[in-house]
Formats: sequence, structure tokens, C-alpha cells
Amino acid sequence: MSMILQYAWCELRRRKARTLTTVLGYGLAVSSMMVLVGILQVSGRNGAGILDHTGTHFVTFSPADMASCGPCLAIANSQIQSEGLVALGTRANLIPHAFVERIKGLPTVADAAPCLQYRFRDPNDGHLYTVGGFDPDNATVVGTTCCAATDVIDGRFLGGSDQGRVLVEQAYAQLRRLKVGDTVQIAGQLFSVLGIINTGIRPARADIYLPYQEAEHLVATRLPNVALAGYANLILVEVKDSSVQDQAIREVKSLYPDLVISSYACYRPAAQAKAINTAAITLLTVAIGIFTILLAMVSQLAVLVERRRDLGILKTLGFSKGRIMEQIILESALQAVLGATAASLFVACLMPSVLLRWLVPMSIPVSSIRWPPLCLLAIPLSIVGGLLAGLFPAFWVSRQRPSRLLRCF
Amino acid sequence: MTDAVLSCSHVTKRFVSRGKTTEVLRDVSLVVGPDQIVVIRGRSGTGKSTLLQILAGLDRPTTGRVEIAGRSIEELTARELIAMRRQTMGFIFQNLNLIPAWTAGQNVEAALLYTRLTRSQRRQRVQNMLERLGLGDRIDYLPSELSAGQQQRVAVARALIHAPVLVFADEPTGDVDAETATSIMDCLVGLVRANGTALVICTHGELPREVANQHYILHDGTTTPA
Repeated sequence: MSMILQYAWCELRRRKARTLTTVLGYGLAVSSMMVLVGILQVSGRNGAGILDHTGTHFVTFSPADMASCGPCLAIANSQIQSEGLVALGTRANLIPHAFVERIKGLPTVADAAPCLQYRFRDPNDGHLYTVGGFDPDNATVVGTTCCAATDVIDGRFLGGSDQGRVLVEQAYAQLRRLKVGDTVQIAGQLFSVLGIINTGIRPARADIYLPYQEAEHLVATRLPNVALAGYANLILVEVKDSSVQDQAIREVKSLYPDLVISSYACYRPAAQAKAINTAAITLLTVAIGIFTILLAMVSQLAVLVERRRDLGILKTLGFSKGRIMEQIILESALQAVLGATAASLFVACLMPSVLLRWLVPMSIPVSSIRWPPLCLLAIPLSIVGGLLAGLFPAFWVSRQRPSRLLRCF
Repeated sequence: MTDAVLSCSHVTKRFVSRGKTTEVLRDVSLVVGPDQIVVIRGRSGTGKSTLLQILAGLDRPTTGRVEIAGRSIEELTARELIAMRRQTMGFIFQNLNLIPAWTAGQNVEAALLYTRLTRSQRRQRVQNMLERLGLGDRIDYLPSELSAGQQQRVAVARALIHAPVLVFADEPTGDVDAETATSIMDCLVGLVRANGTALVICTHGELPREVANQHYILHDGTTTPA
């Protein structure tokens, strides 16, 4: 092996300019690949971080069967027939909080929370409005399905300790000409408007929001014979990742087949976008790799065309096909390793500062690129690339008859 | 001649190029015995190199038979042919004879790579051979640092280092002046005779008659004894 290595090194030194060009070519390609893969990985990770949590939530409830729904019957028999526990505009059954805990325990679910939604009828003008009770301290799941502090357009968001205060949806506030500091009456009780919010399109949207316990007290005034403690009529669910949302929905359905699940399907394009990004990174990297190998192969072929007579002499001396192939492949691999080593050193030492200067203003977090694994990976991959680049030329020249090679000057 | 190291009978060689067939060799027959020196003389382009390559098993004849050490090369596998070349033959070419990137020592040592010798034994043998040829101090020189005559002597050393039974020389003095040519031929013939090696030389020039046991002239693809 040492003789082959020695001869290979001699050959590379003999054609210094070509060797240097090939090594530089490898170096350029490898460093480009490393930088590109690094940036793509980071932007992919960041993009995936966003896409992972795009649309990863849903609400679930149990639509009421009027014949058997206790609260529904209680309302139907009362004076206030348009009122009731609703979810997405549909009368809904009460669900025990234990369901919430079981859903929260699913491996695909990040969090789950109960929500109480009740449709009231204003005794003065008869208009209907929905009140939503939620836990203001549970930002994860409430923020994505119900309302969030970022939705506030005037005033401030509810805190866990706020009592006698409500948030009013912008459209409803406009309808009722409410502003921050005004008072609203719900089921005979007065509440101060703490903030006006615009929640957009959320599955657990309501007209007025207030803390869960207060909502429970309000509903209890309407349904005095119904045990509300430990029950909700809507469960808010946050999934771990957009790619497992379908699975989470299936798992919830398998736990409680009667539950209806309502989700905005934006997690689907998010999951697709994530898959497309991953495929793009892989494709681009593979394309650069193949392009580099092809270029190196062409360079190696050009060298061999010049060296045909030398190889003919070696064949005449009794060098076997295998030995000649080894020699050529080793030369190719040596150049690849030299190029990759130079590229690794260059990228590891210089690129971070260069990239920091050029790419950080473009909001690409270069500092989080993990260079050492990329450098470590570049060397063995370049060896493989060098072997592949040398394989065809070596095979081609090793199969030529010595007499044919000797005719080449 | 049963103990011939090389014999060929009725060898023809045709090349097809651009749809045209050219017959380079026609019904060539010759026999080379052990210790014999055979000179094949002919003008440029008469097919001397082609004949030499066919005799050495570097190319296949279109028809005819070539035997080396009693074995027909047509019957040998590619691997056996390579092994035979490695063990029993040596080669000297006219020009671009050495691997330019390798030193004189490495060029000569290349012929010993497939032997059982250790690296130090190989180096020692190379050193001895080059000293015999007056190049002991040039072992680490690259071919480009040697004169044409020195390069040919390195080629002679490489052809004989592994003690072959048969050496082929294609215009071994074609690129040097008369004085150097004489010196190279003296070296080559001296070593060949000393080792009991058979030698086949192709040349377009004149060689003293006493150098060779047999002289042939190659003309119109056919050999005739001179």
C-alpha cells in the first residue's frame, strides 16, 4: 500500500497545476456544500420550528342529543329557550374534566384544557351572545384555540387573578358600543371590560371571555339543577407537531368515538411544506455532490488520457488491472481528501466570521450552524466521492490493451 | 526447435480503420532460441512495433500462432499472460520509456513490485543494477533530470532487473546520437549475454552484424532473413 501511495503522490506532484485545480475544485465544492447544508439545516430547523406548530390545535366536543341531554332539557323547559351550552354554534354535552386529563396524556398531545361556552340571551333586547370561560394562565393551548394576549387591541389581557373583568371580542364590542372600562351585564351580573380583542378565526371563539370559574358561576345561575363542577363542554387541544396532528386526532377519536373534532386544516400544508423543505435540502445537497463527482471524474479522465502511455508501460511491466485501478482510484481519493480537508479548515476557521458578516443581516442564525460534525462528515464523504470519481476512469483505462495505450503519445 | 523461448508462425495482423482494412503483418514466422539475439530491421511504418507487441503478447494477431516458452499465448488467460509478462519478459521502448513522475530508482523497482523481495532487497538490487550501468548516483533523479542516454540505460536496467528470459527492445537507440547508441547497445548486449537472456530488437537503423545471431528484414509486412 505504501508503494501505491508513494507512486500516487509522485503523480499528483508531477502535475502540480492540475492537481491543485482539482483539489481546489473539491475544496470549493465541499465548502459550498458544507455552507449550504449548514444554512439549509439551520433555516430548515427554524422553518420547521414554525411549521411544526402551524395549525397544530383542535377543539373537541360532544354534540347534544336533545332527547337525552340533561342540560338541554333543562333549558328547553325554561323561559330562556335560546340559551344553552354551545360549541361552534351547536348545543353540546358536558364532558368530564377527566377526559381532558386522558387526552393530555396522549403521546402526540402537547397540552389540553377545558373550556366552557354558553350562549346567553340578553333579557333587554333578546340578542344572543356567547360567553367563553377559559384558564388565562394556560397560554399554550388557550392562546392557539381561544384567545391570546397578542390578540388584545385595546386594554390588556386577563390574568389568573382578575375577577369581575372580561375581554370583549372587537366585533361584539362594536355592536354593543363597548370600550375598555365600560360595564357589561351578563346573567344579571356586572363585569368591567378589561380589554378589546380580535382573536381572528379560532375554533373556541366567543363574544365575551372571562376566567373559567366565573363562567362556571354564571352558567350555574342558568342551570341550577345541573352539576357543572368538574365538567366542560369544549376541550382545547394543542398537538406536539404538525406532522403528528392526524395521528393525534385519530387517537382522540379512538378514546372517545362520540366526540366531534374541529380543526383548521392548515397543519396539512404546514406538514407538506416541512416535507418539501427537507426534500429540497436533500436534493440540493445530493445534486451538488453528484455534480462535484462528475467534474472530478472528467478531470481524472483528462489526466488519464495524458497518461495513457505511462499506464501502457506499467501494463507491459506486468501491472494487473486491479493494481492500475487501485493506483488511479487512490490518486482520485487523495485529491478529494486534500480538497475536503482544506475546505473543512477553511469553513471551520473562516466561514463563521464571513458568514456572520453577510448572512446575519438576512436573519439567518449562522452561529447555530454545527460546523464540527459537518467537517467530520465532509472527509469520509469526500473519500467516497473521490473513489466514485476515480472508479469509471480507472475501469476504462484498466481495460485497454497495453498495445493500444503504448501507441498514445 | 523445441527449446525456443519465442516462436511465431504465419502471423498476420490487420487493422480496420474508417471502414478500411490494412494488413500490417503478413505470414510472419520466426524462432528465437535461448541466449539468442534477434534483430528485426525495417523502415518506419513497416509494422516493427506491431510485430514486437504481438510477440510480447501485448496485442493479439489476427491469425497465426505465437508461443512463449512453449506456451501458446492464445491459450493463456489474461491473468496468466500478465503473470508471464511480469516474470519472463522485459521491455525497452524507443522514447517516453520511463514514468516521468517516478525517480530512476522507482522506475526500475516497478519491475520488481510483484516479486517476493522485500522493499530493502528491491532497493539494493536496483542500486546494484544502476551501478553496473554507471547510474549509481542517479537513483533519485527524475527522468527529466537525466540525459536521453541515461534514460535509456535506466530502461535497460528496468528490463533486466528481474532476470527475464526474454527482452524486447523497440528502437532502443532511436532517440540518441551514434556514440550514445553504441554505448547503450554495448550495455544491453553485455547484460543480456551475461544473464543468458534472449533479446529481440526492432530497429530502423543499422546494427553491427556480430551483435545478433539472427537478422530479419521486415518489408511489406513480411520478414525475410537478412
